[in-house]
This record gives sequence, structure tokens and C-alpha cells, in this order.
Amino acid sequence: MSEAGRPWATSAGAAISARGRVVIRSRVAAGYALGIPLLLITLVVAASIGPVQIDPRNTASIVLNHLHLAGLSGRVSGAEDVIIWQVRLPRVLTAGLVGATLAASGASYQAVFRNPLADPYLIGVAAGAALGATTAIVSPLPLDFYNFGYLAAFAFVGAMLAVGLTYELARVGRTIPPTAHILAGVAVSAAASAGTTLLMMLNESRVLVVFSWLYGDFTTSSWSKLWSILPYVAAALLVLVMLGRRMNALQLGEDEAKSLGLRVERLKAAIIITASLATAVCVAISGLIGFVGLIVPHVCRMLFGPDHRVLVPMSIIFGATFLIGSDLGARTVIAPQEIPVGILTAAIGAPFFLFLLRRQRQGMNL
Amino acid sequence: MLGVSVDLGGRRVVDDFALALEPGDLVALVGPNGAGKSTALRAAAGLVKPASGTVKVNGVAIGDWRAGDLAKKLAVVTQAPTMPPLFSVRAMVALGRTPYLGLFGHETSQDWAIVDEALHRAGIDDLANRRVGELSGGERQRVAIARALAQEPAVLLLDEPTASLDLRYQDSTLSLLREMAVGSGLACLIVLHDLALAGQFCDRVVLMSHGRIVAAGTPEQVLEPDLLAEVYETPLRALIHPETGRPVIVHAGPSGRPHDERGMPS
Repeated sequence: MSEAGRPWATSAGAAISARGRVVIRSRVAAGYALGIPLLLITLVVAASIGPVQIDPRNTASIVLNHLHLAGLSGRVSGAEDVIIWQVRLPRVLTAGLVGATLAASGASYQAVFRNPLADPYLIGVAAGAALGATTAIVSPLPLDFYNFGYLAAFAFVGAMLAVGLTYELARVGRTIPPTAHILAGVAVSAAASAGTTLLMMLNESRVLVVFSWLYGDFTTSSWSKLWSILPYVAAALLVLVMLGRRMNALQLGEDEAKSLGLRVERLKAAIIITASLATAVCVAISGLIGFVGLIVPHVCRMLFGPDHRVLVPMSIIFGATFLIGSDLGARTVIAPQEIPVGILTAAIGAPFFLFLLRRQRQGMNL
Repeated sequence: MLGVSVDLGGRRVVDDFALALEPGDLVALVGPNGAGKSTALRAAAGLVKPASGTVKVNGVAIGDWRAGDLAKKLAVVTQAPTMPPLFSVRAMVALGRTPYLGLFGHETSQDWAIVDEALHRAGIDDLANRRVGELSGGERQRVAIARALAQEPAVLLLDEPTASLDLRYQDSTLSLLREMAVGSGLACLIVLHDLALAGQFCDRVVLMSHGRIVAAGTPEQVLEPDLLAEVYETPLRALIHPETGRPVIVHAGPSGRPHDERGMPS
């Protein structure tokens, strides 16, 4: 067939598109090249700041020494070593891990529900997990706050019930309108929070334990708690990263995704279960920390585009950085008192959410 | 496809649909609104389960295919494809490579070459870096076709691929499909509303009405004004194309029967 029959065929196109790909690739490379060092610097700085100020160089030296990567610098005191390694580092690392997980879960929920406003907090998952975890704490079963396996399991059940309930409430046929989804999430969150409060009232002796944990708290972080969540969270993050390409294909319609060979129902279930498990584990260890899963993926999307193969790993890196920074803020803003980190992220996240909502109402592509 | 029937919401939407597609076939599926064309196409794609009958691809029942393997043989272009607005056209077309990718889902340079070829064939290489959300309806339709071509299918099912295209792109799109059918043996089943396009570009036309096939054969056999007038409940006339000699169906016009200017019976 002659070229005249296809008047729109040009041969210059290939060169143009190749250049576009290079631009996007170099942006992604820059994201990793800047994001990872930024995360490490934030980590060291956050660990250095506190009631006892420690030179960040000493902090770095302590960490490297414990990792057997370098000998201890002569300027480091024994007290500093204990403060960094026993107290602050577990806390900073837990905050980082939780931030990474919440952000990656948010990006995944946004992909699977095709809803740019989805966030573990806003769609009710976190509140459901909190209700589950509270049930575990106050139950007469031989559990306590440090018996982490039960706590996480209860939180996971609560998270799955909440995500299913929200979905069913908001569903119109086989689709869920984004705002209806958020409204249903708010309703489910309110109901779950009421349940949590009721459980607290009925079990006064545990009120303080529940309360301090509920609003986002890393003060009880320890290596043992960190190790107890790490396997779940690491596995969940790995799965979400690996599903990135399939999340891209899910952005097409249901029929198209199926015709590309995806088992759509199974894939959606796998993503929701993985993200909810990860969220539940985070809630179990650190309480309700909202908006991380909303802010971080959005900023990453603005910077690196909508490809989930990039978006999920970037959300992990920047989510960790963001929550380490927020936790640092939470314990320094009105030092020596601490504010729950969940309040700080809400203070940043709520205006951001309203801004996104407004943009969506104006018909902009999020 | 053999004796395929589909029930939706307790109603039989497609009844005893039978069709064989051979490599190189370009078959138009026509019929009035609600005749069951799209549902028959979805059944052929394995997207709805037939109440009875079987759909086979390469002699294997469609349900026995592994989803990923089937996607290498059979591609679908739906009527109003959903597209993520922030994706570039090129990334969107690259989604057609989904069934071929490995564990972490990264395209190889060979995948990108196939994507570029699909972009070029669909005539949208100059759109490659535009965001899908910025495109017109006709451009999106060509992106959807390029995405399906990137799947390198043996069978391509299209639901009204020319619906929002102007005359030039209607021609280009069907010419492209024809070229693919003749050149690489692609088998196409195309739901079309435009009987003129169906008559000029396709070798076979299947006419559906109320869920059943009422006629199937060459354009000359099927595009017969009296038959169509009955099926569409509208008076129609056939002209003969001066060059191809194929029938061109047109409205009978105001003299035929009272109707409004859009040709709807009043």
C-alpha cells in the first residue's frame, strides 16, 4: 500500500519518541541518584537531633561501625553510641519503613481503584486496622502490646473488612466513583473510630496504651519491634514493586486489561491484600498516620510521571524520607514535648488533599 | 465460533452466533443498535462467558487458553477505551507488550522496536510523547489500535474503531487493517455502523438483528437494500460504486417514507 494512502505516516516520529524516552529515563535516574542520598542524609540528621545533640559525623560513624563498614571515630563517646544505636536509630528506621510502606500502599490503592485520592487513611483501611488492633489489645486473650504477631493479625482482619466494606458502599455497578469511594471511606473510618473509642472506654485500664499509639507514635520503637515488622513489610513492598507494570495495564479499562492477558480480579485482589497487609502492620506498630500515602505518590507522579514501575519504588524512597522528616518535626517542634506524628502529617496532608480535590473538580488530570 | 449464545440480565442478547475467521480475513459485523454486535465481539474475545456454544482460537477452546498466551494471539479494541490521562502515547502503546514481559515487566529494545512500528503503522509517531489526556477522540482511537497492534495478534477484534474518526482517518484506519490482513495474515472482525465502509473495505459482511445472524457473505450478497431496509426498519437504496462495483447503501431520502433529516423514521 502506498504512502499516499496513509497521509499521517511520518518517519521522523521514531527519532522524536526516542528522545522523549531519554528525557524521562534521565529524570528517573536523577530521582534515584538524588532520592537515595537524600534519604540517607535525612536518616543521619534525624538521628543526630534530639535532647542530646550529636554531631551528624559521629552519628554516621556509629552507624558505619555497627554495620562493620568502618572503625569508630575517636570523637564518639559511649553515651552517644547508646543513644544513637539503641534509642534513635530504631525509631528513625521504623519511621522510614512505615513511611515507605504507607506511600507504596497509597500508590497501589490509587492504581487498583483508579482513584487518585485513594490513601490507606482516607479509604478506611487504617481505621479498620486500628479497630482490629485495639480489639487485640483490650481482648481478654493472652495478648499484650508487645505480642506483635496477634496485634498485626487482628489489624489485618480489620483492614480487610474496612476495605471491603468501603468498596461495597461506594460501588456503582462495577466501578467506584473516586469521591464516593472517599466518602464511604470516611464513613467506615468514622464507624471504626467510634468502635475503637468505645473499646477504649470499656477498658479504661488500657486507655493510655491505646491512645498514645493510636495517633501515630514511634516512641516505643525498638530493634525487636522493627525486626518483627520487617519481613511482612519487605515482602509486601517487593510484591508491590514487582506488580508495577501490571498496575500500569490496570489503568486501562477492565476489558482491555483482560484482553492483555491479565487476570484482573485476581490481580486486584492481590494488590489490595498486599497493600492492606502492609498498612495493617504499619498501623499495628505506629498507629494512624494519615496522608503519607496521598502526598508522596502525588509528588512522585508530578516529578517522575505515572509509570508505576517508577512510581512505587520512588514512593518507597520519598515516603521513608518524608516520614523520618515528619517524625523529626513531631519530636522537636514543641520539644521537650512530642506531638503525635499523625497530627503533623494531617496538618500537611489535609490542605494538600483539598487542593487535589479542587483540581479534580475542575476536571484536571491528577 | 460455533453456536454461541450469550445471556445478559436474563435476556438472550446473542443467539446461536457462528463465524469462522481465517488468517487474512477482514469481516465486518453490522446491524442496528442493540442487535448484539458488541456482545458477540466480547464473546469472541472471551470477555463474556457464553451460555452455550464454544469459541475456539487455533482449535483450542478460549477458556482453555492461558490468559497471557491468548493475549499474544488475540487483541481487542473496545468501543470507548479507557486510557490513563497522564501516560504518554508511547507508554500507552507499550502496554500492548504486557503479555510478552518478564517478572519485573521491563520492555526490551525489541519490545520498543515493535512499539515504534505499531506507532508508525497507526500513523501516530508524531504523537508519541504527547499525553493521552490531551488527545482528541480520533487520536485516542488510533492509539488504541496501535496498542492492539503492539500485541502482535493473529486475530484482532475491533468495536467501532472508526466511530469518532473523520473521513480521512476512517479510510486510513480501514486501509491499515486491510494492509495488515493482506500483508501479514491478520484476521480482523470489525463492528461497523457505516455500511458504506463495510462494503468498500471488507471481504465479508455479517448482518445481525435481534441477536441473530440474518445474513453473512460477500458485500454484494449481504448489502441488499430490501433486506437491510427490513432489518434497519428504514427505507434504503443501493448505489453501485463506480470503481469497485461494490454496493453503497444510502438512505432512500424524503421520497421514500416520512422521516426526519437524520433518517430516523418519524
